[in-house]
Amino acid sequence: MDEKKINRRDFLRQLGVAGAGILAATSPWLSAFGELDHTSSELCRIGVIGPGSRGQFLMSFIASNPKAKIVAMADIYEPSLQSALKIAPDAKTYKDYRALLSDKNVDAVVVATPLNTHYQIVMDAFDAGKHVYCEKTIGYTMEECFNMYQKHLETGRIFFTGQQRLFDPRYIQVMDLVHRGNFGKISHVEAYWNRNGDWRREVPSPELERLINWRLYKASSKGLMTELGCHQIQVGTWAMQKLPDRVMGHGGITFWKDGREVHDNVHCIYSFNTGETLNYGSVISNKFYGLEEKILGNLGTVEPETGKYFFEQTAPAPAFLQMLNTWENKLFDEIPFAGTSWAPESANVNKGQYILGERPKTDGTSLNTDAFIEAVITGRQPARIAEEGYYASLLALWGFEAIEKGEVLAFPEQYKIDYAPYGTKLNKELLS
Amino acid sequence: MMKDIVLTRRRQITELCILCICLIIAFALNVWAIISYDAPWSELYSTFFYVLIFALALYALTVLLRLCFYGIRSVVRHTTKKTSKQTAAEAV
Repeated sequence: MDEKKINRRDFLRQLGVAGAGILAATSPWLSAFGELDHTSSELCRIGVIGPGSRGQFLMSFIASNPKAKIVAMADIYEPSLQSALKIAPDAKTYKDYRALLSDKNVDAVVVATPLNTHYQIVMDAFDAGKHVYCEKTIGYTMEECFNMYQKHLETGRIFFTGQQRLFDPRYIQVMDLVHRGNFGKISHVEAYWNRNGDWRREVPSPELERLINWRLYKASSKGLMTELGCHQIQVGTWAMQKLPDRVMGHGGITFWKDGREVHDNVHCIYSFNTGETLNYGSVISNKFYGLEEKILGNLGTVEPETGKYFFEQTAPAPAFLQMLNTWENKLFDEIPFAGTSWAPESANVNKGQYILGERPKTDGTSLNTDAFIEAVITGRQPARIAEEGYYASLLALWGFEAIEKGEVLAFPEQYKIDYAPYGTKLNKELLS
Repeated sequence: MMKDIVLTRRRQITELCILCICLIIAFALNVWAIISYDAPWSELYSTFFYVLIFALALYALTVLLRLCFYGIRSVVRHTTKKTSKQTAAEAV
């Protein structure tokens, strides 16, 4: 992924605000960048568990943050450790993550291991008193996600998830506009992420296949729903500001029949009792449409990934141009050899408006890690960041379950948490 | 030998007048379009660029037409003059 680091000032400037306060209602986790505390001389010592492809990507941003130092790394795969040492040459390396967790020099951990290993590592990390940044999807099952969230509450440790769109300037601006009602009532979100590739990584020897290509096997991954869908389903609920009530889905292996166990073609429909829908689909044998989350309101449409919005009612072309267009149509319509007029029927095309005037240089990952570092230093968990991450994971796993069962599933009430923006209540019985 | 093209003051004024007439026509068409299509009057100035381009195109068209006209007339006169001289020479 080609992402340039964006500094905090540019980030806020892109949002068009002098401080994060204006967007507090939409994106309160931006409080992580508040200037109330002077943290410039502080240092957050980070241990990275699973410094593989994604882990090293995160490390590249952490290493460039002057308030953070990567002091330790743990991985069972030696080549990953060796590669990661190029980013953090002074970091201590461990084969066993538990040894890293017992290292008193580590304040916080970044967990970027295969999905099926997140749960135990994160639970142990919280028990060891470490703050945690866990890549999405946070757990392999809905129950694991719920337990991890509860552990975060019980221990009071900082908990961030790899939902970087929460810090993407385009998405923050989009949600501000959406929640203000600029696009009217949101009836539907159409999210998709299409690629054309086998999703495979090079394997040095056959016995490493399931370790390196863990995303392709059900024992270690839930496939496209957990690896890609998690991000975009979260965008949908962020826009709708409520949780869906039902989900149905379909999945299959339609093209990449290479021994993988996870689907290469998934589609889910999340529906709400109030009638709205959130669709998610992913196909990895065609990349023509790429990825997008189309937010559809009665007044307009937003496409955050493209960075544009379109209002339903567009201003007509200037009268002078309309007049010339009419003359031109009449003139060429009279002449048989000219055929159909070359000018379009409509003198105006809805090209939309850019959300931020230009494509931002970040997808939010660098700012997500920066915010985590700030939160660890200040000891303050930004509002809603853990809850958004929790529900993102939960909804992705719930969708996967619907695909596997081939049934319409109601929202699992036992996994609802106390999160006011989505209108849910705490299930006190479960915690007692 | 190449002749110098001299734009006399009279020619310059003539061309400027023709350009002004083109601008007036274009402006008038803009007004008519605004009324016909029920557009806001702010388009009188917001579409100034389009009106200017149209006026220049109209002026260019007049130049082309006049060149054609005077060119054809020049050829006809030259031919007529030649024929007259020949007839006069034969009569003598």
